[in-house]
Amino acid sequence: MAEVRIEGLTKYFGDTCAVNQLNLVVRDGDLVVLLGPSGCGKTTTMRCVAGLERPTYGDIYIGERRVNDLEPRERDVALVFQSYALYPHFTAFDNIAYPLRLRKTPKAEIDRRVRDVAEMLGISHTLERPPGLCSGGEQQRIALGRAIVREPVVFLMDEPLSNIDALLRVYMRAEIKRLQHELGTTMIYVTHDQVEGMTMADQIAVMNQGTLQQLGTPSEIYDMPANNFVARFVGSTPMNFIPGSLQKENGTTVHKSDQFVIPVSAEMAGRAAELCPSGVCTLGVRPEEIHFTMDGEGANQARVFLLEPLGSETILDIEKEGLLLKVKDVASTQVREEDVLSLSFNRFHLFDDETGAAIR
Amino acid sequence: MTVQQTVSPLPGQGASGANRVDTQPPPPQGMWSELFSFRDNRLGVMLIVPSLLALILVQFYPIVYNFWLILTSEKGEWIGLANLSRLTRDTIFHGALIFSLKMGVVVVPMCLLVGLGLALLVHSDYAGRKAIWISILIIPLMVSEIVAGMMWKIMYHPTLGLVNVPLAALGIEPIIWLVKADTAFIALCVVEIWRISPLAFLLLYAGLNQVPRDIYEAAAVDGATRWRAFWDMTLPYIRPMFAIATILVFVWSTRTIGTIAATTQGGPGRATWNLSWYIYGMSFQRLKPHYASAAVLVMLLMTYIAGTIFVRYLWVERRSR
Repeated sequence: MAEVRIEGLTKYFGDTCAVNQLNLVVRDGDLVVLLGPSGCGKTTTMRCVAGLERPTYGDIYIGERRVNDLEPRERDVALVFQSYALYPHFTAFDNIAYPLRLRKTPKAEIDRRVRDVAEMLGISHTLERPPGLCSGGEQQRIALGRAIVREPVVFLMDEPLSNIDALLRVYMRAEIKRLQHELGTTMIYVTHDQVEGMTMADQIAVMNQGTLQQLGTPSEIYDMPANNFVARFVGSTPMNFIPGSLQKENGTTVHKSDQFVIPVSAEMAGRAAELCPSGVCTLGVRPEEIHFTMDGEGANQARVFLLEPLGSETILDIEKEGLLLKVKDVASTQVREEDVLSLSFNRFHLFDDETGAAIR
Repeated sequence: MTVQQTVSPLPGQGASGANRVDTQPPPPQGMWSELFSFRDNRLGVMLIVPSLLALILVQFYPIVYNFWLILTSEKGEWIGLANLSRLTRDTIFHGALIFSLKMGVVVVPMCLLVGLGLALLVHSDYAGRKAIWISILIIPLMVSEIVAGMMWKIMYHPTLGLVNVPLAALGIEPIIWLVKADTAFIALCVVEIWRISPLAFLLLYAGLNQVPRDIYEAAAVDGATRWRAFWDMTLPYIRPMFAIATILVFVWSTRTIGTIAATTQGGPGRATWNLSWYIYGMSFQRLKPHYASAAVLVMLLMTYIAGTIFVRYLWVERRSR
């Protein structure tokens, strides 16, 4: 078990910069999720840690060792591939046993450890089969077993759940998290699925275009996004953005847009004056932070455009003058399409239009 | 053969599956009933018939005709197995058979080694434009046996040939390659290796291209050295291709006739007679096609047995240790 330290990691493929000066510390025993859209450099970062790619600049430490010049096999990390990369000509047993065989583990011990791991993952019945004859979920667990069996210092997971069906994915998510807690091994987990990231991570590192956007616990990422990219990317129903500017009205500061006038607290207005002197900023508000009444009073009124019932809650699509807002209705009120609602905005964030950074 | 259920599901046999077992159609009875019992297949059968007839004409008929030749004398009289029993006493035939096998034993492993080496080189990241390499390397495949033989005969020339030049530089006396039995054997083997290893290269290169890249990465992370990954991943993966390459190289190298015709003409003496040369000599020079047919049968059997062995021991789909 070990800490993973990434210092100033930069990786070029030809002229393309895949990772740009990334600094990240994964504490010993933590599960850190690298989260970001396709092509954001998360997989490249992980491959650099595994030793499958060589950093152009920067250093990677596993524990106290600088591993830049070490071969993958010398790093003692285990990697679960998105494609699983199982050895098709081996049986499941041989797949899991392979890392142990390479370490010249005694035969009896290999047998014991493989069977233990298979039992833990519920794949004992597949051991004599080649991977080609196993289901997707079983293959996924064989790949996990191959990583677990050797007790590495770091687990690396490259979107391991993206190829299995939704139901199994939810189950395996919890299973991997439980395993990681049980084994206490440091894990770096790459995904583009923000729900996966939120549910599994001790820490989330949100990446975009090769740079780290924010590192924090899932609740920090959700409640205090560092910039509008993080705010937009995290959240199963995305955050609403209302472009506008801060203005003084009757002695108080308001965020004024073409559609709404939203009062801003004095505290926030003070910080905004400091951080965003132009006052041009976008207001971001999560769907569950918009409250509404049907009494038809108040300044911020808008029309319900579409209902998206999800069972436990309903998403209201609200339209006003070309701006579409998503509002979560958890109380299942009897709102219908074309109703006019009065909106109030509880907690919201302001993002500097110029830099995209959160004002706080 | 995979068995497909061609009968459509009965009404009421929905996804609920409550009485699925009762209403399941009976399993088909095997390949032939599958083929002929359904009207849908009539068109298929009709489409197959012309090729089947062509096959019978060009493959089956010659084999049967060959048997008839073996069992009769040159005068057309029925002589039973006399031709075959004569073969067992024919020392020239024995020599030719042994020469063919000897050639196979040397040429097959060498071709596979050279082919695998070239395939690995071209497949590696160091080879730039792979298409150029491939088109250069398969030139020997395009050259006919006779032309290859003529070319190498010039190469082996004691004073003009290129082969002796580097040897002379090393201070070795010029070797007169094609006039001594043992050097002639080596010389012929070299021609055959030059001629046939591109075939092994092509097949093995195609095999290498089918190995998924990610299993090498998985092996590297799991702790395998490059050498170990080659043994554990590459070789098992290209094993079926190896079997095909082995069979084809064996057949090509044992049946060769053009190279012998162009270089040694079977000489010195009968030292480089192989089965093909023997059969050719018997049929067209000594005009004993019926007797030569018996040798054809032996050659066929030899190839068949060797092929079976290669498939049996090389073409293993999966490996379990």
